[in-house]
Amino acid sequence: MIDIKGLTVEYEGGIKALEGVDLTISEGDSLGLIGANGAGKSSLFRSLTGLTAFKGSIMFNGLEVVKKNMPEIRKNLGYVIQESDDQMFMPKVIEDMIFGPVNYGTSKDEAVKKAEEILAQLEISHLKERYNHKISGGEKKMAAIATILMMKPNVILFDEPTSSLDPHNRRTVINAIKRIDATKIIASHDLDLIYDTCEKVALLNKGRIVKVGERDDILRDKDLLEENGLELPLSITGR
Amino acid sequence: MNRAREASSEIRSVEDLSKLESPVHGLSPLSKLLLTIVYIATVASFNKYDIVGLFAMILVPLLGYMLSGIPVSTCFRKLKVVLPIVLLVGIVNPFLDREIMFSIGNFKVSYGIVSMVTLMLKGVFSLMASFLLVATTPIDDLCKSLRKIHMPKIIVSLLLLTYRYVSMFLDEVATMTESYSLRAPGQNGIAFKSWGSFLGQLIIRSMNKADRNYGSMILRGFNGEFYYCDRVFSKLSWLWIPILIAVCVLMRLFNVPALVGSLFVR
Ligand SMILES: Nc1ncnc2c1ncn2[C@@H]1O[C@H](COP(=O)(O)OP(=O)(O)O)[C@@H](O)[C@H]1O
Ligand SMILES: [Mg+2]
Repeated sequence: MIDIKGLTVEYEGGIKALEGVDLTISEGDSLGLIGANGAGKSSLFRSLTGLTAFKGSIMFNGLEVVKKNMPEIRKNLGYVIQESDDQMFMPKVIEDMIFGPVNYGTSKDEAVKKAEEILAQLEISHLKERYNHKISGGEKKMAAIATILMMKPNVILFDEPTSSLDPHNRRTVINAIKRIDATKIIASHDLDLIYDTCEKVALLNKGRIVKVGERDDILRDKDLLEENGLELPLSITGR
Repeated sequence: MNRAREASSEIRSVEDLSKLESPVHGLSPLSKLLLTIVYIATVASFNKYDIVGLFAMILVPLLGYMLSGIPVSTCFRKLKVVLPIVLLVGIVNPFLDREIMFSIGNFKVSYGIVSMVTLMLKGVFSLMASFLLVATTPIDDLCKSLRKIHMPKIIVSLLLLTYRYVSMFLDEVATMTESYSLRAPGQNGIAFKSWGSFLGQLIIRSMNKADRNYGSMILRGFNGEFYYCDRVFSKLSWLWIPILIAVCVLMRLFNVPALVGSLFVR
């Protein structure tokens, strides 16, 4: 479904955020993309979605990630960015939610109906008419996820979805992610989140893939994690 | 509350006003834009001593406010941050232009004072008119109608994004001044020596924010068109607006208060 070969991202000033990354994601996978701050997780997502220039090749559903394929690819690829504030640009939650589908030709009424279903599914119907700049961080994250679900993507990228959430909101978001039926890639250094939501894990360090494998093979390997600036998930250490 | 944060939330709430219903809200965005431009141009073109003729121009926005159901006071409340700047514009005139124009009792009014007041009025009237436009026209609808008359996508998108960025930018200012003042207790404002790095940071941070924001838009299919706006506007716009434009021009060409006065005083 997604085939990344030799992905290299270099920013101005010669900073290499990613170097020669190879990674394959199959339909229905839930992949945890782990790595310390600056490992290159967001750069990988931005390359996948065509927001950053890169070298190498990325295939998405048989389409190459290049400018002319972006409209088609983006229809099927959702990206929940880390900063929900910047993800939501319309005044109201509902307006933000219908923005995507209407751009792709759905009628407004139909989009509103779909939005109501998704709000109910995420148990946030009360946010429908609220203003994006007047809701809490946790609510904003849920609303951001709702706007992405509106696109009915086959693949969803989550960039640090639990960062800066309190335990209760964190739980709500994790449960929502678990219930979403799509191929998921979740970038985080919150390894408990990854342990809870992913079957496979790819470990990134300084722009390179260190290891890809089954969840337990990586998340239970204390030495491997520590060498790469991470710690065992609390749910494993049992603290 | 932080001044910048306050300003940003005021701006955002103007967008709420624009979604209300009224005869003014129902006019086509383009017609209102046209009227606003003509109005401001007319106001600006008044002679700097023609305070009486200029003053009559207030009638046009006043009518708009009355019909829209938005109190004029809302305009001044929302714009209280920019208002002082507008009022400061002519402040030096009384010192430059001291020749006496007329006197009221013992109080001598110089040309400078009159031109200062005229300048202030021009600023205030233009603000009133622009605010009325923004408060009765959702920005996306305005952009959509600009696209309809084939204004290039790039310009229209810029307009939309600028509008959105103003409040994002102010939020960023707020966050930065807050974190600055937390680490510089007892300091009033930002020390002059920190201005350079503060501004630099501010620009970089708002650019990053803007970049993420625009990214989120194109990821959800935005391509410069406004499919999501589907309001239908009153056909009468193209009757009302020309009338009002004509009124503006007539008020500029003829001294209406004097004409009206001459009807009664012979
Ligand atoms: N716009 C940019 N310009 C220059 N360097 C960047 C930019 N974005 C990220 N980087 C650098 O690229 C590296 C990877 O960043 P990022 O992909 O954001 O990592 P992560 O999401 O894993 O924290 C970091 O060293 C970061 O400083
Ligand atoms: Mg990141």
